Order: sequence, then structure tokens, then C-alpha cells
Amino acid sequence: MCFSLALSNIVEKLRVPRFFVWTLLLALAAAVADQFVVPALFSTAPLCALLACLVLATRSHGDALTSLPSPSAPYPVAWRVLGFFAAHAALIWIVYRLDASVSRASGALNGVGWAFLLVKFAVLAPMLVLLPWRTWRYLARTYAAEFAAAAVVLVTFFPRRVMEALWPVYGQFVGRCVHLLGWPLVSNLGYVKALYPTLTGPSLDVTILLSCSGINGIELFDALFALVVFCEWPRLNKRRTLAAYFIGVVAMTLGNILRITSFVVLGNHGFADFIARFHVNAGWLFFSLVFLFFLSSTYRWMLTPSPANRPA
Amino acid sequence: MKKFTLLAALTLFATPHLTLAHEDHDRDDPGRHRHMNASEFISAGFAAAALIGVVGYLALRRRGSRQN
Repeated sequence: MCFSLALSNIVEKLRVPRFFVWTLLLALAAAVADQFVVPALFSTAPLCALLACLVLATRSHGDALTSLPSPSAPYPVAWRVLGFFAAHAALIWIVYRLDASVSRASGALNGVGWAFLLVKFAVLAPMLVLLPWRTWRYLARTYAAEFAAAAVVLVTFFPRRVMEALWPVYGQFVGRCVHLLGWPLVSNLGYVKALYPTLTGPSLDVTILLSCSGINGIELFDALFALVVFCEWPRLNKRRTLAAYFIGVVAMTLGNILRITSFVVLGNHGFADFIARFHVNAGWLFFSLVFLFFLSSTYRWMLTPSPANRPA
Repeated sequence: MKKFTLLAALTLFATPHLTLAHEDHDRDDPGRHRHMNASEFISAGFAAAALIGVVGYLALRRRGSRQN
């Protein structure tokens, strides 16, 4: 009771239409409940996407309240809420009815696994029942940037599954790039083609495992970029921020290739023991430096207002 | 104050909580040599890297606001 009162007070104070906040909170609660009832539905992506949308909407300028097309109810209508819960119940029932092997494919990197990923994302679909279509169109116009950010979070944050799926090709790409960059600096540098490629040197052989894919760097980048976006959201040029996100992911990927190259080169020039012992810590330090370099290069650019929003 | 709170929250968040579970196991044998496993090592590395990133961002932000 106290919790719901406190929550109501918080929602009252936000500069976001109340029905929108309640819609997102209901969707979040239902998605969490779905995952408790059916563990096969476990995925942090829809939860993070809903949270991102909610948090960024509260950080926006708040002019949405004054531009509402008509007075709207502060809460979603009761019959819509019933329909929303019925849709969630139907989803749970469908997943229960699915063959056990299909449910077990959750997280697998085959066709069934990817199809099941869509089922996991389907926990967001019942949210559409909560509000009239006209209201959703209004919200899509008013909070276009917030919805876009949530979509980016939904499909790109915590990209371990994508990296694992791409590894047979991406691993070779990383190995070949490291070989190409390290070859002029290390004599007799060899390349052993395998699922986990190995670079053979006179003093140190380096095997590139999945954990060397740069996935940790991308996850670090995701977390830090999310913090910057949250703190700066009202001042950010949204298009540039979206572009900067993808530039940053590419920068971390290229940075990872440089990181492994430096290990191969230093390891074969008298630092083999040091590299073997400290490469994990050195890697984290390297990733944080790449992030700082990226941020110092793009920070002011991301904050520059678009010509349409620039004061006359 | 806000920045301090943010840093403190991040430090708390970043503390490798898995170490606590290990300490429970080690309690039976207090003299035993302790070691971190790979996941704790990654947590600690992530925490340190995140802290460097946050501090760098705050410095960049402060420099930006001074220039304005």
C-alpha cells in the first residue's frame, strides 16, 4: 500500500503523461512476471528497453503535457488492462504448449533459437492494447527519439548472442587483421586457421578465444554510453547520438584488434610473461582508454543542436 | 554532491559480489589461501574500467561547462 502510494506520488511529479508512465510500468511488471512464470522467456533486452524508454521520457523537456490533443485519462482504461493481461496469459499458455525442445532452444544459435528470441520480444506486444491507436500515434510523434533509443537498446544491448552467432566469420576476421598488422613487427608470425584462430610467434602463441572478441569492450561501451545518454539526454542531438553509438561500437571493435595486435607484438619482444599474466587487466584499461578517446572526440559534436532546434 | 553520489553508487554496484559467496565457503578454513575466479576477475576489471570511464566523462563534462 505504502509502495503504491509512493509510486503514485512519483508518477504525479514526472513531466510525462501519466497514462504513458503507467502503461510502461504495467508492461515492465508484466514482462518481469512472464519471465518468472516461464523461465524460458528470460531476456533482459525487453526490460532494459522499457526502462530506457521510461527513463528517457522523464528526462525529455516535458512539453508533451501541454501539447496533448485532448484530455486523456490518467490511467489506461479497465477493459484495456483486462485485455492486456489476457494477451500475456495467452502468450504464457502458448509458450507452455510449445514442445519442450523448442523451449530448450532458448539461447541456442540455430533457427529455432532465433525464432524463440522473437517470442521473447513478444512480451512487449500486449502493451499496444493498453492505449488507443490514436494515442500511440501521438506518443510516437512526441517521444520519437525515446522510442528509437528503446529500440536500439532492445536489439543491440548486451550483444553476446550476436557475437556468438557471428564468431566463425568474425573470429577469422579478427585473426587475419591481427596477423596483417603484427606481421611487419614480428618475424615468422604464423596464422593457424581454426574456430579459435592462433597466431604463432617465436616467443608467444596467441589463441583468439570468444572472450577475446571484444564483447567485453562493447558491453563496457554500452554501459558507459547509456550513462552519458541518460545524463545529457535533453541537450543531445538525437540523430548524432544514434550515429555516435554505432561509431563507438565500431571503434571498440577496431580497438580490440589493436589490443590483440599489441599483445602479439609485445609478447614476442620479451614481454611474454607480462602479457600472459596481465592481458585481461590491460585489456580493460585499453577499452576504457578507447572509450575516453571516443567520447572526447564526439562529446561536443553530440551536444551541438540540430539546425531546426538552434536558437535564432 | 551529485557526482560524488554517482561515483559512490557505481563503486558499490561494481564491488564484485561473488567474492562474498566465496568468503562463505572460505569461512570453514580461515587460513586457506584465497583466490579470485575468472568471473570475479572480469567483474573487478569491468568495475575499474567503468570507473575510469565515468571519471573521464565527468571531467569532460566539467571542462565543457567551464568553456560555456
